[in-house]
Amino acid sequence: MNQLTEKMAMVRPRAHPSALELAEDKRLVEKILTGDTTAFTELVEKYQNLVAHLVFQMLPRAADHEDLCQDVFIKIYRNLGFFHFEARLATWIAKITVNTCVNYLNKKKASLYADFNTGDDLDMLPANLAGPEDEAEQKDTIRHLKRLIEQLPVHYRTILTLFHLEEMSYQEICEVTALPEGTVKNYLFRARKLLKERLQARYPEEVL
Amino acid sequence: MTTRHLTDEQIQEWLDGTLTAQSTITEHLTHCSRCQAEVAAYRSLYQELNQTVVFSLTPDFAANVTRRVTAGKFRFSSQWWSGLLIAGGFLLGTAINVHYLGKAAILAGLDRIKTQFVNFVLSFETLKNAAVSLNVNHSLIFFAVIVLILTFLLDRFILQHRKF
Repeated sequence: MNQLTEKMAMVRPRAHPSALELAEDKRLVEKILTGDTTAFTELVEKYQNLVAHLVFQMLPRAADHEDLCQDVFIKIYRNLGFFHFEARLATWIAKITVNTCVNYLNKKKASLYADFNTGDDLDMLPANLAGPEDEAEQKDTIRHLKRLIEQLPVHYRTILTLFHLEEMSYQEICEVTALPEGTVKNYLFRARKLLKERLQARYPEEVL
Repeated sequence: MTTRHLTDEQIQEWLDGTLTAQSTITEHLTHCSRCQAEVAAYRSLYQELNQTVVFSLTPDFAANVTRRVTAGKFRFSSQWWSGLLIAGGFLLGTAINVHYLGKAAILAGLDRIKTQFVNFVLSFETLKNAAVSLNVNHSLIFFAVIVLILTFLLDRFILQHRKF
């Protein structure tokens, strides 16, 4: 019985920063504030995946992802003096990234309308992504899932990324997105339910 | 023993490890094959979501950003620096005034500001008396103030969240 439940449960502990990680971030920030550019390079290397995940997920249709990621790090550099470790450095960086992407979408919402889809009309999303390339990737669940995620409204994509790729807790996601916890959970549950249903419809037996 | 099937939310919270009644769900799952299948479907989705997208930037991304920072000579913005500038500006302004106008003139100026402030406060009393003489309904004014405060709070806490 225990084996069964252990196998079924997939509880992944949320990331809790260790004292070592916090001390390391503090050391990096202090060195950068004294003008040490090597420390800044170190910080970029440490957090570039977090920024890239968010930028690519929030703006899948944008052409200048790398420039946007650079802009995020320039903002981080300029505002580092305001950061006083009230939150994890990762949370603060994610917040700056999300705000930068939202501003970008606000400016370019005509050309990136699909990226900016913030409506709650999840039922209006295409149930099946028909296309010539779809046949070739029929067995490739991950690629299909990636395409399904791209169809979701921007805040669903952001929250999924923060929870699953960045392993942030509900509270940290609330801090990053400035949304109440109930809304964060609601978006997360609805997005996962929709993705599960779409995958079940496409791969009824073999995958799920 | 739970006889009802688990909801999607319960299954997700259980997998997230955030459900308070974890044991109740676990117990239900030992005998309910339908819920076991749902859990398996979600578990599979979780595994895929945890590894779905790995976006990579160019290998010299960090070096490029650092080069931009160095070339741009960006300066750190800080509250401490801004506060120091404001305090410095105030002290400098005061010193220039004292130097050119003299201490007595400055004190007389401050006295005039004080008189103006008192008159300003008294004007509220006059306004209140005028409202009374015009027979304006106080509850109407109170209602208008409440509406203004609620509009401000609505904008601050709800509409700003919806921007995301």
